[in-house]
Amino acid sequence: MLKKEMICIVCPNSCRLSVWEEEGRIRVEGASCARGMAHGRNEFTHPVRMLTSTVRLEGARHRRLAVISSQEIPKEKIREALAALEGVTVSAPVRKGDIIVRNISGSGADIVASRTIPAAE
Amino acid sequence: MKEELQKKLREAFPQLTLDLEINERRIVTVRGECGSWDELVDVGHFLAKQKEVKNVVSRMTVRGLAIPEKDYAPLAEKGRKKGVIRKADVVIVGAGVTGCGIARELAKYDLDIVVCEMSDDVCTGASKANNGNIHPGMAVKPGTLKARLNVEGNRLFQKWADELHFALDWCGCLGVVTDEKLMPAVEAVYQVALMNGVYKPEIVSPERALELEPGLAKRNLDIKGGAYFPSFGQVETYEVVLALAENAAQNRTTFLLNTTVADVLHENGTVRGVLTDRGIIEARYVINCAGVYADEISAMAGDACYTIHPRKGTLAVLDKHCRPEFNGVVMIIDGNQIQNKKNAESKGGGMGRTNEWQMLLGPSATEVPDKEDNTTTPEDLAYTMAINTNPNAGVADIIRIFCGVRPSDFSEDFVIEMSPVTHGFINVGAIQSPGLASAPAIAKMVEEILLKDAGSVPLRASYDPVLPPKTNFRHMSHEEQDALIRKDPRYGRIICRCEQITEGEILDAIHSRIVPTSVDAIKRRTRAGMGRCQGGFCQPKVLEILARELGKDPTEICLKDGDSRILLKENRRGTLNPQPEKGDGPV
Amino acid sequence: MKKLDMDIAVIGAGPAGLAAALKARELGAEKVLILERDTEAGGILQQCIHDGFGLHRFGKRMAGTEYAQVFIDALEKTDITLLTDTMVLEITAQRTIYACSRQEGMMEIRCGAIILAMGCRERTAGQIQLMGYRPAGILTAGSVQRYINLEGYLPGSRAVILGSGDIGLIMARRMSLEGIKVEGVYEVMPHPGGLTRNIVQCLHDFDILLHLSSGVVKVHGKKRLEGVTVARLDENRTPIPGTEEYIECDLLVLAVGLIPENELSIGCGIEMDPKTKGPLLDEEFMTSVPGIFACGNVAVVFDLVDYVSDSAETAARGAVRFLWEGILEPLQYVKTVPSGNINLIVPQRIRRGGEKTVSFYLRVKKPDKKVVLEVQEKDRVRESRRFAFVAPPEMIAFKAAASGSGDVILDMKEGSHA
Repeated sequence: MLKKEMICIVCPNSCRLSVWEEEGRIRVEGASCARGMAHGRNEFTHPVRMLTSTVRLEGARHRRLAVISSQEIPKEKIREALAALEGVTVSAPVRKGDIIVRNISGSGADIVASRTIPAAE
Repeated sequence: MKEELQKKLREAFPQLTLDLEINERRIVTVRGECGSWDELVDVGHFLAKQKEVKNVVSRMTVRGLAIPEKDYAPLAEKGRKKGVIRKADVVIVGAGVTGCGIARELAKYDLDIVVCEMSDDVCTGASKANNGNIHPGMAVKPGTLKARLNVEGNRLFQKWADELHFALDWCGCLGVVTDEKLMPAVEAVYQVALMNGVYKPEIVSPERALELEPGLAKRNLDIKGGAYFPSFGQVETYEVVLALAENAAQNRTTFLLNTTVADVLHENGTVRGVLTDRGIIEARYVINCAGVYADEISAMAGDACYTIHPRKGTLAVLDKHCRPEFNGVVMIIDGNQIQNKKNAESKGGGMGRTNEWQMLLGPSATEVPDKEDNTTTPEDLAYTMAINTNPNAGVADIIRIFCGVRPSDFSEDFVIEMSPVTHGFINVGAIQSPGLASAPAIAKMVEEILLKDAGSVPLRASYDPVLPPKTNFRHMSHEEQDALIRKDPRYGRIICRCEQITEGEILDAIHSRIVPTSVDAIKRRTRAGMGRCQGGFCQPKVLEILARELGKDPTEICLKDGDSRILLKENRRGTLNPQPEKGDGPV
Repeated sequence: MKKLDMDIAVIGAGPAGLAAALKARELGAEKVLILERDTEAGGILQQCIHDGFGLHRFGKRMAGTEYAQVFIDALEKTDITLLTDTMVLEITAQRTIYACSRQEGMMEIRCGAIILAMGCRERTAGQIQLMGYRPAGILTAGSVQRYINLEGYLPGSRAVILGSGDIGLIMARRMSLEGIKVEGVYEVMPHPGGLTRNIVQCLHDFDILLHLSSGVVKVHGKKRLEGVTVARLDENRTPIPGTEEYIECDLLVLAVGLIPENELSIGCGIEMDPKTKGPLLDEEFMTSVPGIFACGNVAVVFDLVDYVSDSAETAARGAVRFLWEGILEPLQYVKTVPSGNINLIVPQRIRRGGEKTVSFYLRVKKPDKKVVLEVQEKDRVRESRRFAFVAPPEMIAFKAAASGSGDVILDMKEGSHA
């Protein structure tokens, strides 16, 4: 039985959670609310994170374009997704929300521009 | 004589076994092992204070301490392979205030002058890290070379400022006492000032003190009297050195930066030139202005006649919001001050201000074995901050702490002479405080030494002693600023927001005769990065401008000399180049 | 010199300035001008590519860049004038601004009201008395963020972070993702400076250790940073002998606090609060100089951008009211007084007379649990709120009624058992 210790981040109370699997059920100890229970369970079974980074940009005053995932992606896919972004160069102009990479690393999330950049004058 | 000296030394340091040698020039060489670095320094000072001793060369070691030594062999090796790269009349080693001052003085003659500087810029050693005080000359021992040159240099400084257009403020120095018992000490300082020929020293009444420094009124002191020295001035040393260097360059002096002198070439008692890591430069005269390394350069010339024991000094610059209370330097002495013994040899700093009205405290004085040890320590900072008596300023107001190393020898006087051993080699060593104030007189003295030797030297027909003033946006009226931007829009873009330094000023600096290549070199020329954010906002912009103007990659731009790159590499480079698809609107 | 007349001039086009200008225009101010020293609007948010912005205002976690874009897009739909690459050099108490740019030269701008939104800057190595050498490789967290996120360069390969404020934590994650090894985060205080969420997601996710009551006692490396000596600190922040440890690194990131950037404010005689290091403000976020308002991080370091925008709108309302009504006679004030665990309060004072609703922003001195916050006016409790948990990094924002009849005491004490 592998127990996972974590700090809950759903509110500033910062409860210390212990989460483990027992007879096919996920048990959460230390949470003081239902949201905390759910957070513990999710972090144990399928932790997800937003991915924010930059990609190379051409034709603009800036050299990098800020990007964000359209939804959270599995934590274990973060490194792979980043590696995939490594090869990406985008040309200005770009508008916030433009899709830079669709379904990154098969995560179901798109990588989109998180800002608008006009073409250089 | 040797035996007598040896006996005195044994009495003073019975715990040590030391060997002495004394030559006909009354230079003592001392060998043996000391228990600590401070003890070694004490031995050196003790010997130098003896009447029969002119100066002291230390060959002493310290138990359990590896005294750092510069390894010139690889540099010499590298240079030897290149052979002779240049023939000149005069080589000056070191581009601090002394070296640049001499270069500029000699530039009025028809001489080919080369200045070799190991760093990437002029003014990076002792001249960089000091408090910019132009001392009047009341704090130096009468009869010393220092005393004469300090007072003379002080008088010549205004001419330098007039011709070179650096800021010089004769802000004055006032010492007041709050205890009647201290009045004889005030009188004593006044007498020393008179003896040294200091310009218009003055014994002041309490009323006169308040008139000179109205800020004293707020302190509610019971002032008994004091002394005032109107010839105390304030400069930014790097402004002075840069102006000297630029004017020298304007008059055809060559500056070789990033060039380390690894040996002094001499034969049959005559100097032939220098071997640098970039090759040999032949010259009739070699002038040693190498700061903390001057003793090593002198030894290379076959004339080991003094030893530099580095003494570091820590300074603190405070935020402009701590407005200095006084116009000049004010010392308030209430009799409780404990004299710092170690500080007694160097002129320690007081509570002063820069010409931009930032409070400036320090320097402290700490003996260190390493000539490049400019580390700040909590002890030195505590000493420096203890100088502060402004009730509205404290540690929390510090914006910058820095530290410099004084090139002091054991005689604690300047060593300026044509070498009696190697003809054509001129020592200008151990130039510590008041080296800045003395610099114009040192330049004149070296000029005389050279002329006396060379006989008549023709003047340079094209010589121009005037360096045009620099554009200084922050000190202009709004109308002047407007006119300037209309003439040249580059002055309309502010790069350093704390000090209001424009892109135009940075470009002026980059395209000047002494080309700055590092971020700190730009800082010294323009003040960009010297304000309260310390480059937090402007460093990326300065770096970008430097890379653009010098045609370099941003990863090549350094903070200072040596390998001090700011950016190590470009992050991930993309190659695929897909066109972005239009999204479903804002996320 | 070019002369302009404006109803309202806003200094700074970051989140505060943008929100202030938009609100002022929306409320009917006609000639609204924003002066921005950078090349584009957005302020520091343009380098804040991470998410977590906008939860309060937009109910979702946006990237800083996205948050800024909302306001920039809104601005483009208005007739507000935005002057970028324009530096304000001076403000006078008579509400005249002197600013310059390449295009316009010097400008003299006479304003009905001025809103200060210059933001804040980072504390530096000198301010924390960092000891040792001064080599390349020591940068503030914001500079590192700029170099990596905007310029696209890495300033190191092995980093130590000093300070556990949120920017430091965010940069721990950012650097880790970019391949810079983070050797640890050192915090001189016994408690973290940043939010728990960031400690979990930026440190724990990357197995980076946070060392509390610890600091950097010496910097090594004459030209480029070679390493730092860290040590544990006692309660007086003095290094404990024997706990020193040398860590090899080529980047030291300073995340040691933010200071409101009030040089212009001080220059025109605005009275300052030593606690917030921002101007003394009233409930309309007006400074001690009539007609000059302040908002965002130049007023007080908010940390949360949502509060920055809210404060900007408060200031804009005040500025528009000033524009129309002016101030007929000298204002009289009552003070807001922190008590108990409260460290600082904005606004610091409230105009005398007239029942009003005041937006309060406050910070506590130390972490605590189950506490009650009371707003007291003349021994009467006007408002009472419970908090399960409070901590210095989490600014508390709330609205409460005040009559302006006497000093308002904000007190925080142990919660009752109820």
